[in-house]
Amino acid sequence: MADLKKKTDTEVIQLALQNQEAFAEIVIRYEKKLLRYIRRFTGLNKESAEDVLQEAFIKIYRNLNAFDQSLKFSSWAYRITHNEAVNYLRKNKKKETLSLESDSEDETSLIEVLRSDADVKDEVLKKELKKNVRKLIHRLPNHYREVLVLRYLEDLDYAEISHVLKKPIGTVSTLLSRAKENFKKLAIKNHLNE
Amino acid sequence: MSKFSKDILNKIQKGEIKPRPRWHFVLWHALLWSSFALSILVGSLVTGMFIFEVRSTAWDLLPHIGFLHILPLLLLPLFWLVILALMLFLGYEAFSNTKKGYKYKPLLIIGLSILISIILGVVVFQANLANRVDQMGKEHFGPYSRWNSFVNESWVKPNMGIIAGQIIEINTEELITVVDYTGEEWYVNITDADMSDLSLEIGMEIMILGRESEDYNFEAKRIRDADAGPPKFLNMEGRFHERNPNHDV
Repeated sequence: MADLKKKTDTEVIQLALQNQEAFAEIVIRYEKKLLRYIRRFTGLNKESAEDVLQEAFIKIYRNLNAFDQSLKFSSWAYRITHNEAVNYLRKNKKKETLSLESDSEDETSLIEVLRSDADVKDEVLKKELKKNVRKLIHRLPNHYREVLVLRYLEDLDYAEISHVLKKPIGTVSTLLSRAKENFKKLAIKNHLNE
Repeated sequence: MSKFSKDILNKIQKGEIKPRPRWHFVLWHALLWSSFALSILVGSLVTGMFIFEVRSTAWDLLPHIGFLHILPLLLLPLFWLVILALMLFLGYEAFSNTKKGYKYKPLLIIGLSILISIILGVVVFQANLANRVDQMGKEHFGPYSRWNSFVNESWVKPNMGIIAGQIIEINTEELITVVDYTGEEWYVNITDADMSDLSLEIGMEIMILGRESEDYNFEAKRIRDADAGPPKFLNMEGRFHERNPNHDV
């Protein structure tokens, strides 16, 4: 099992189909990434996000044979995780809370979206802005939030987002452009661009 | 191995969770593609039936039977349209759930399905399949047969100046006997009837505009083939005769 680290995702999956232990390697590779995505997308606290992720990994394991090897495993894993997160939000609509604690610095990329409207140089202001961006993104409807998070925080390209959300690339592009517009409007309304 | 990874592996082991076998997914995709193909085929047949119904309706005579009687006559074409919409929905759902189905816009999938259904529907109609389905429905499917009887009976409104039925006797050059769709026999005077180029024969089903002169005597002003129906764009050459091969127009 020691040389698992050198193997590609697809090779590890082939091994995991024979040996459960090999699946741990997949968990190790994607645990942080997918947990971060769940938290960014849902705003859940760490514990709840981990519950969602655990269910997502079990679904991934159960459906390993459905993975289309012509596609990237990461997109497929994102898709299952995304669906699990959406299910969670649907079931727990009333309990949905926004976690403001964040371990990410990546809101910078979303601040870039506002850059044409704002020029933030001060580091303290920047930090405050990141916190506010986090709050703001959770005020957007799900369909805008998911594309913004996938594109600007998870750094997925359009084809990958299309695969994760099961939407045509053209639709992803339109959604993204509308999401940015809405995000900017919301930012202006909340004086985030000043 | 992190605690999180260990927890997941424990859960998998304790729950005896196993990857679903590959054939499950192969079967699922085969079902999706079959459903898509089936929905297109049924959609085409339904489109053929819709064309058939539209072609069979005597649109030009509708004003003669009154508004209240028109609506039920339009129900069958509408029924086929509803089935077509259902097939398009099922086809879309099946296709969009195939591996690469999500890559295509819903409008494209539905638009192409409609186009294929129309093309194959015209083929179904041209190949006389719709007529055969109609005949089979009348012979073997009670509700369809009863519906057709009801539609036919709607054309028997002597008080409104219209009767329809089958010629059972050509008595003289001026008089024919017709049994209408409700089973009543009529002596029809055709002296002043506009028949265009219609040549009457026993067994032919006709619609007659005119007036009831006395009990079960009818003076015809216009006679038309019961199977002919505008609009003209659907009046495809050759099909007109096939519903009732016993006569010429």
